[in-house]
Amino acid sequence: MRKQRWLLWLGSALVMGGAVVLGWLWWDLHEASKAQQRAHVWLSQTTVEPHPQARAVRRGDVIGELEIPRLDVSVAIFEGDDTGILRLGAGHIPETALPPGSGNIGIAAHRDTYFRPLRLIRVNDLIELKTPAGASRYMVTETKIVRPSEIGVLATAPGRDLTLVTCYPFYYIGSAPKRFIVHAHKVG
Amino acid sequence: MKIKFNTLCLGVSLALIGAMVTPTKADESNKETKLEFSAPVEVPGRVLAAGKYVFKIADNQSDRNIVEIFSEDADGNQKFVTTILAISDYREETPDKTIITFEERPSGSPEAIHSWFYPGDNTGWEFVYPKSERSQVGSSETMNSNKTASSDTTSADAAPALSPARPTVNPAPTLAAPAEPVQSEPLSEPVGSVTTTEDDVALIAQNDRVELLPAPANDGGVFADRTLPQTAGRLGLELVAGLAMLCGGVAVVFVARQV
Repeated sequence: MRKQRWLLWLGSALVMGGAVVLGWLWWDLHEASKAQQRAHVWLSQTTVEPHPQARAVRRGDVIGELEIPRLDVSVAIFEGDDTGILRLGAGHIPETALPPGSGNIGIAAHRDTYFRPLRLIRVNDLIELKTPAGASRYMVTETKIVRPSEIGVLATAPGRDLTLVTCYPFYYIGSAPKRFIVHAHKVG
Repeated sequence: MKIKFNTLCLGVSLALIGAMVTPTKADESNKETKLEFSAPVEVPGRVLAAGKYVFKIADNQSDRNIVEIFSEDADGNQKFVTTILAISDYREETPDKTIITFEERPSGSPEAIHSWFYPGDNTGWEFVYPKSERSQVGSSETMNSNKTASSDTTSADAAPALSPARPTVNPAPTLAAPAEPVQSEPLSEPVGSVTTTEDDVALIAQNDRVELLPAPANDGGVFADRTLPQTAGRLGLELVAGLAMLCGGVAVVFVARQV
């Protein structure tokens, strides 16, 4: 009888714990979905003149929208690459170039949500980057797998105008040991 | 029946207490802030001459982004100047003092107020200007700010903000033209010095934005102290853990009932 009670208590605790974890997961996804919607609405209503001078951005500012038509990827980009930002969408890596300017624009996103389709990306795939100042098109030139410490992939280099970063392997539970890198150059 | 009567009494009491407390809250909720500008400053749709002004949030429960500006004379009499439809702004750090940030404008033009934060609030109000006003922003010149102090107030440097990341979203219209003309005056001194007349606060006019150059000519060295972003996410882990706990729990309960 005592064992039965103990098992019932354990089972109930597990059910409640599981419900809490799944509820938390649902809330995360809900918040991300709302943030994406707000960003899309804001971007659709906003246009600005391209400004040759430096722009100033703050963590969480909407930078633009990244689309990869072949992979059906469309995600809003926010300023920042920390956990809180990447939970909501793609993040512009601070200290890399800002669209639509020249230089290497670094964008990161989770490999289990927005950048999951990157596992299927190929050289010559087109990437579109839409910002309030206009849209730019990029063509994939290279993909590679690097260690997290290989920060040089974000450096400016000829023909390297956009770099996408996500974790690798794509199917991996926990903190992935490597990073999947996509380099692209601007074509229009 | 007695319970219902008690509940009714409790409700009436709470309503009465609420009614008594409301006026105090209303005063606090309008975020009234007294500011003194030592040079003309621009707000959407007009230029405010140097002088004392009161910024308030309009008493409109459905829209808390309507900023009313009043001028204040030496006797403390307030006159309505303008109403501005602002948009919400957000700061990571909660300010303990009033914060006003400015936008860059061409040399010789009044500085434009970009945002206003009330002490203790992360959420402030951003003033949005029509494109025509923004396009006048100087190409590369940065305006100097000046520090002033008066006997009863404190002031701090006003660093003009660079062009913001969210510049021209639906330019904020000015709702009402003032009956009292507030003329812009020639610049008699460098703009940017602002004082607040609140008792215990010093106004900080600052720009805490991070400047990012469009084309950082780096070779990776600027990132030397960091690694690539952690993009693993917890989605898979949370999903597996949640489902495992749920299924495990159901199984354990099932077993317990069999025992």
